[in-house]
Amino acid sequence: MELNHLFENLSLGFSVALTFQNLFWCLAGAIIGTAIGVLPGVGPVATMALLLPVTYYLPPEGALIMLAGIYYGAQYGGSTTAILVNLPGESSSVVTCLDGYQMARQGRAGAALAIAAIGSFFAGCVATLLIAVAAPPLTLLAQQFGPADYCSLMVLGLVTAVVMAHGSVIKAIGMIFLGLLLGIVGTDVNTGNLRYDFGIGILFDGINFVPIAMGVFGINEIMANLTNPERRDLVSAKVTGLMPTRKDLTDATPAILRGTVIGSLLGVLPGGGAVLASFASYSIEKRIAKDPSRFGKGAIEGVAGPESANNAAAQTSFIPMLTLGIPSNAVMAMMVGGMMIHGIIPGPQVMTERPGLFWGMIVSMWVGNLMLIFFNLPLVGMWVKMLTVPYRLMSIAILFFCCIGVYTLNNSADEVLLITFFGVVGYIFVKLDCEAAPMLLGFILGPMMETYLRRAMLLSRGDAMVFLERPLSLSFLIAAAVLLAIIALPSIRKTREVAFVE
Amino acid sequence: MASGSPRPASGAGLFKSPKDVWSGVMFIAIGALGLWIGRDYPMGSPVRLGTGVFPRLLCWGLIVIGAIVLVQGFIVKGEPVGKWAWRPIILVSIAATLFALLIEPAGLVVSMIVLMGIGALAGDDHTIKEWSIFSAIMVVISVAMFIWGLGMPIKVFPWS
Repeated sequence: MELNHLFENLSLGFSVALTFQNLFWCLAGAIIGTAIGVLPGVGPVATMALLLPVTYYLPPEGALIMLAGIYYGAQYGGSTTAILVNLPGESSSVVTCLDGYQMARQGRAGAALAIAAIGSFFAGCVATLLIAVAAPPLTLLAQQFGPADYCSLMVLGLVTAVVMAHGSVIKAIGMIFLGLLLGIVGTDVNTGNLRYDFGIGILFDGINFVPIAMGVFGINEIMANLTNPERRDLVSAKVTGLMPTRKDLTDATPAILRGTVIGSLLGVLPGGGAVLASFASYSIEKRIAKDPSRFGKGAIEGVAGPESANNAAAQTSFIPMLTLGIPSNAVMAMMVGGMMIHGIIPGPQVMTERPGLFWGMIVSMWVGNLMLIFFNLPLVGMWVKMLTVPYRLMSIAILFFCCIGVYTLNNSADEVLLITFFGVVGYIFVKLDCEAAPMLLGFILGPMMETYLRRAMLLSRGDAMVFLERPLSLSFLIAAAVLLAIIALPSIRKTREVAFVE
Repeated sequence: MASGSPRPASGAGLFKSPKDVWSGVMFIAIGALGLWIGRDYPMGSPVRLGTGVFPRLLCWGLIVIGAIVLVQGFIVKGEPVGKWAWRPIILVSIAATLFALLIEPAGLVVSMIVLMGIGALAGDDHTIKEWSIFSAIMVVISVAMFIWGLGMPIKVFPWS
């Protein structure tokens, strides 16, 4: 069946993605994504949160295609800033600074930018194909899951997300619990009882996803960034010689291939995603290089590998979200939020019930990557100019867009007060080194987890052993326990710290 | 939890890691508060779990995790909380709050100017000229985009 179905699915996808409207939203998402990728201090999570209210006005296909475009667009844009300004435009471009900026200082900015774009494009193509191949069987598998299996799978997903994230594991678990708790605020769907509503009207239906995400990722960043003024050292606004030489290409090709594989694998894991992939790729390139001392002094592999890896991971991190309905990082949580605004419950049923949306989105990622490689490089000059907009002006624009965005979601001024609250809370989290991303994952999964927990208990007639008796559920729980045990071992904790410092 | 006042002491004294100590306090406080508010939520039966089961699980989880983090904060050396950026916190909060209060009675233009004006005070080195030009552009773009473009039901001026 496989190949025929693949073509059928992809052609359905093309028919959706290539409509004029969806091409437009794809381009819009990719450009916005590149723009915010270029700008340090504005990440894809905050931007997607900002644009969630706007997507309410679009058809669901256009909305999700645009949101996805923002994410991979940001991967392209991030590398531009890293290479030209030595500042990571995106956290996934941190390692690109190391060799990319050095290449720019040697007058090879054009080659570095081109290799980053080519690598990203190649990785994007492979990863898109991988999604198309892997999604149907995974979806079929997911349809066999019972409620207990789902509940345990969510536990495993959350644990993996914690283990892969940097920073304190125990605090991240705490943040997940906090997120789960915030997720169940409001009316309990099973019994109709109100929980933690504090008698406030807007909390009766639960906390909306948009104000919490915008508060913690948008408003809070304004507060934090205004206190840390940044320096921007432009190498030169002029980029010449975009074409990499033949030697550049032969040097970079193996790194691109390796980066694509590493990124594709790490992207699928919860909590993995683009940042981890780029770090892993860089350290591997450095380790297997014949002359590791070249790294940090303008080695093209140090640009090609991580940039391919982060784009591949950005794409494949859609796999668990699309097939299982489980977001693996904060960006995917935004995608879930975008789906829920349109009344689509993420999960294996999306592929069977809305094949046009599902395949259209996947194909649009490839289309978007293609568009990016064409307009990203010629527009480098414009992106560089954008970097001269000072943050003091950007901050008030972001502040306004956050407020108006949340207001228009339900025409409710109370929700604007809610983002203020979550902005301050988010600032406290940052001060205490408590990461907000795990909280957001918990927030999304909270209501789902409770529903599955109840359903599992109902089906098993109140026997909690069901979680250990079903083989799938048991294996998920064992995997989660093993992961936690591993991370608790001091020796592994040390290497993990080193890996993130490197 | 907001009372986590900045402590200059780093690593010295009782709090080896102030960040962890305060995180632990925060988790425990939220968990305890959740238990107390939810003290009457019914537990139901094992077959039909009540409203109170999942919240209680989570709150106890938070308390246990908070306790571990707290203890860790007394033992393992860590960083101080650092300075609080009071000016941006307060001014950004005021700006957003005023926007929420003004958007319906006073319309988009007035609430935007108030928001961006107070928001600008949160940052450094704005000049009146730059701010005025930038705000004017923002107002025009927003009216065009949100009201004419997307047709959002918001007043433009207080009298419209």
